[in-house]
Amino acid sequence: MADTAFVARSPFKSVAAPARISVSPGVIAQDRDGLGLATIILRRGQLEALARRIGELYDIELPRGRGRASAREVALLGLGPDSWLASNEIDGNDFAVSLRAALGPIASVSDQSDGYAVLRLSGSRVRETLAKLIPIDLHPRAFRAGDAASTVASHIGVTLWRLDDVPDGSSVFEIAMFRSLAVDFWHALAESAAEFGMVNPPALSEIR
Amino acid sequence: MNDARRNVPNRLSTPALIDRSSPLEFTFDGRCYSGFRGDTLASALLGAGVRLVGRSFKYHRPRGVLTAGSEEPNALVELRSGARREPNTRATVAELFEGLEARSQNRWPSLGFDLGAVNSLLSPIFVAGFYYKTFMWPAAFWEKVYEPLIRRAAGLGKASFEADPDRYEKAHAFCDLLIIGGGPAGLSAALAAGRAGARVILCDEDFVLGGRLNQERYEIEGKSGAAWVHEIEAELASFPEVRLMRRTTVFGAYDGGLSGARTFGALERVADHLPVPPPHQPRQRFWKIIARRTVIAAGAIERPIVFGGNDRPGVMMASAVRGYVNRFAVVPGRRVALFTANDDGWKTAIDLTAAGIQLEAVVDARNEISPGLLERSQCWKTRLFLGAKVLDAGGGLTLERIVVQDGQGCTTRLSVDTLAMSGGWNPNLALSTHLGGRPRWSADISAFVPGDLPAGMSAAGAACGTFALADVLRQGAAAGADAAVSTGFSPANPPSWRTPDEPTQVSALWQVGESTSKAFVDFQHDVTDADVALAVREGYRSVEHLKRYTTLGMATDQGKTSNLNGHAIMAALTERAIPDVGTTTSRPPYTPVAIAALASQHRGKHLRPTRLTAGHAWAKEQGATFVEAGLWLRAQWFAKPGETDWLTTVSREVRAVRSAVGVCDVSTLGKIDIQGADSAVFLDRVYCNVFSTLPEARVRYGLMLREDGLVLDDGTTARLGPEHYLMSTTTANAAKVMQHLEHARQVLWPQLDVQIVSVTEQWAQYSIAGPSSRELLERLFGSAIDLSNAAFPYLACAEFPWRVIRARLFRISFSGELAYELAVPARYGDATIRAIMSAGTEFGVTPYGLEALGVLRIEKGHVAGNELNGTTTAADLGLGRMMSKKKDYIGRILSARPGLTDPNRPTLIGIKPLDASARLHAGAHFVAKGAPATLENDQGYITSVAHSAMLGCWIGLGLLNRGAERHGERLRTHSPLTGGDTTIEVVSPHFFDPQGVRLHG
Repeated sequence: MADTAFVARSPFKSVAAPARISVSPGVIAQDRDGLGLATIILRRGQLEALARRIGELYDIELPRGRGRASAREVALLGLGPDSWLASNEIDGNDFAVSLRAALGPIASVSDQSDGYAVLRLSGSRVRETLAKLIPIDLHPRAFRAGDAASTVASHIGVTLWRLDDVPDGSSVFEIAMFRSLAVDFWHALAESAAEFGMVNPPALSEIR
Repeated sequence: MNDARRNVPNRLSTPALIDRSSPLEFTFDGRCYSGFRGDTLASALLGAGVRLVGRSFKYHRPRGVLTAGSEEPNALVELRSGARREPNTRATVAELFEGLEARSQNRWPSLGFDLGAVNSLLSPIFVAGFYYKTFMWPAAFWEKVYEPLIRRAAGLGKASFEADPDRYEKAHAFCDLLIIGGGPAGLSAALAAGRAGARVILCDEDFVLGGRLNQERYEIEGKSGAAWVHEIEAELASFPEVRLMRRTTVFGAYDGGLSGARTFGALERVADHLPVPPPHQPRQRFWKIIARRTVIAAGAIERPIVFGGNDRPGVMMASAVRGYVNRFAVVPGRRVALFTANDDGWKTAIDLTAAGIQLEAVVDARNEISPGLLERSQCWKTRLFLGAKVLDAGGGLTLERIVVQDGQGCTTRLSVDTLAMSGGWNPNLALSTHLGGRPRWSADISAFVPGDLPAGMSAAGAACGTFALADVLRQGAAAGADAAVSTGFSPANPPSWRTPDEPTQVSALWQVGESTSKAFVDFQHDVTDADVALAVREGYRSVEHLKRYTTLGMATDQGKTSNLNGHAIMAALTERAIPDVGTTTSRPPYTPVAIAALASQHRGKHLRPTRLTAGHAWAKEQGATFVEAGLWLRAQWFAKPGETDWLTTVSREVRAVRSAVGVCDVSTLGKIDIQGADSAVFLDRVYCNVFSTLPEARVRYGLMLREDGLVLDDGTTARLGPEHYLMSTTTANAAKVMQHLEHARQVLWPQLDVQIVSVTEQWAQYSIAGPSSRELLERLFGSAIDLSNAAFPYLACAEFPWRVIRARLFRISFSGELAYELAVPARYGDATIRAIMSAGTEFGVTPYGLEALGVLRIEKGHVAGNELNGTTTAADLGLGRMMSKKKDYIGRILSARPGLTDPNRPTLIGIKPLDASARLHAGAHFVAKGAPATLENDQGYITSVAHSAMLGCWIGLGLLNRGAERHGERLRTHSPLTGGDTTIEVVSPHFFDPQGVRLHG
């Protein structure tokens, strides 16, 4: 039975509407609230064991270094030496629980589903918008689908990755920041995107 | 006279880069004028017959337009009004727009009659070094008299002193090849590299591309320069990887970038040419451009000649005179003369004649010129003076006559209103020197050219001393193709174009020594040849000293038109060759950059990010007052309607916690997940007390030392499982502790199997404190958890399913009351605080803020940031017994240093004023009663104060020499900052419930 009085609140819940809502928006920013997230940190000497286990569990080749690999609802993203951010489209907070049970002594798992605020950014002017926020090269040849980076966006630490292009050929990025900074990040994003027009469709968690 | 000519444009009907169908009205010093779209303010003023545009910095000499580019030293004006007022803008680069308001600067009461010009009469006093020599004595006068006086007299325009209403942006761009300058060299380089598929960015400070092609009457492949530019521009625009950035000045070259790339700062004037920026557009955009290769194609700057009266309005650079004719169809004057020593200057004579403007005279310092030029001048019926010089440019507010001295020494007075001068061209070296490149002297062109350039950088065209158009185009194309090859592209043969031959003979002419009137070297800073001579007489020999003594080249134009002339004059006076005298190097920015652009989006409260807790929206609804705690915003207190005084509110919140139950958002405390087989060992080594013995489902208070033995941080750590701990840190030290642990894990003990990650943001955490806290939680959780003292005693912790989440509960207390901290996934932080408030209604639950939290902990004598201040040891804080003697830990060895174990060290005490109504102030120092408040008598200081709601008076914590053994003593506190002395009694820091009975309730 649903607990109607006890509902999750997205970190982007209280942000201002985009300054300029356009019928042909240059940027689409979708809240990914509800995504299950967990950090995986390798225990000593368990790299091959982890790679094997991740392969068995999710049919994913563990990314070595910066990069992202996904299959069905699960993805793994290299955050740094021996650490990954795993995501799950469906399981929410339960993802970390099952992941911890599945990895056992191979790696340490910490739930981060609520720790990060994640946005999916797309639209024809997404790169021009991100260029105002992020000091790295996002040219299609320099930052390919599956690439990931930890960097800063307007003073805010972020992790950014590029998904596969959508059918019309345009690029899609996802960007994660600490939850407490979501409102501040949104302000910077909305200001940067204003000249191109931006829309923010409802989060999947709100549609469900 | 000027009034009669007002609004009568001195315009030709020749083809030009102005749109005659778009007239634009503007004002200068309150008078209306009109120009055209495509004009600069300078061309529009000249077109309207305005020749006097400003007063000089020191002598208040009348000044006009000298150049047609960003090197302009004279025509500095104030643009716009109100909050958008913008001083010291060069009229030569300000793009005209409808309604532009401009004002002259540095004059009073008016531009035509300026009282400050009296300085000119006193000029024998105002020589170089005047300030150094004059304002030295008496020293006391400096701050009160001299400095305000100098500040009022100096400077040019005035700032608005209002907040800038416009937005500014920062943006990043990356390319294989950055081309600086969009003239013939830059465009041909862009084409060569662009055709090969390279990512190219071409920046030009002008609003039209083409550089000198727009100001000269060049032909390329039989077409006009402007037509050629249009063709190339169109082709470049068709390449998806080529970005053309007009109105963009690359102002600095910097290190930084992977594999040999360089970083450049550039300023794009997005909306400077509009009255106000369009919606959602910034006024300016500051670009960081990271380029693998760079071609400097920034052209060259024409040199003035130093002769008497060379600053008088009407004396202009020869290239500027023809530039105004060719690009803007503006006639700079009716009676024009040319003073040159090189073939390039003659282009002005040729272009003016072609435009039908009568040339009164050509004065060429050379004894011989090419037969072609001689023949031409004869057709023009122009007086030609060879081997001659202009001694003086005379007149009042504008030029009226020149005095020419020919080779035989005969002088002739000529009535002219415009004099075009050309001393030759200086390659624009600025960006070539920012990364340490040293210029090299070229005797061929009598100027410095770029020397060895930093790797990845090259120069092409006039920027490297190549002046013939055919050579410039060839060089640009080759540089572009080279850059493409070296970044992995395969260009076809570089493009090439046919152009007519042109003469480029140059003879250096720096100065007319025979002049007796004031001759300017640096126009913007009013430095004359006499100032340079004075510096030499006073013994200065280095160009760097010359610069500082005379301020030559120290104005906002950085001496673009003046440096080499000054150095050449010094070389002549000291009988050295110019390359032996050397030249100064320039530094970024190439042209002035508004601070607002560098700050970009990060201004006001966006200077740094703000962190909000999951309960922020709820707290805001409750009318909380927030306070910054690092980047976090935390509720300081929750005032109720009718409460007008913060102390009333805070005392109410404290009493509620002591008598019923309060709730406080403690989500900002750092939380670090620590896992791994060696996590217990790791904790034993980073904390001074033992954690390996902590049972599962229990919490312990821990104290962490720095390597030097002083206290780093404190907090509680819970054992969630055999190999799983959760550490909490103070809000302020969360990042510092995380770094400290990462250093320990990665560097000190890489062999330990331990994994750490911050989970601060994952959990929203609330402290529920007070005698009714258990009842509140029992109401909240129902049967989800047994909270009886037996099942869940002090320092217990548990994770359990509650509603749709897994919650964590810790029985810990900062307030000294029966208290719990409830942690929930942050997405449920908002729902949880609402649920707590709802469950607590019947128990009188009261939200409390940071201020009440402070009062509660001071009443209990708990240390916080004020005491964990980087100068205290564990023993100082009364926590010495926590330092384990059974194990090693970070800080153990150095904490035993004699200075840190000295029994005379200040230690933690509590204080109470003898007069219960007296207020205490943190920071006040302790001195013995009756002793003077001197450093020698200082015995310590107050670290924290609070008005205790329970004790009904101010109380405090402090650090007092041998404090622990001095309870009962009376001392004086002295606070020069807040004033007033108070007599206090030293007491135990545990003011309230010293036995801790309530904690275990």
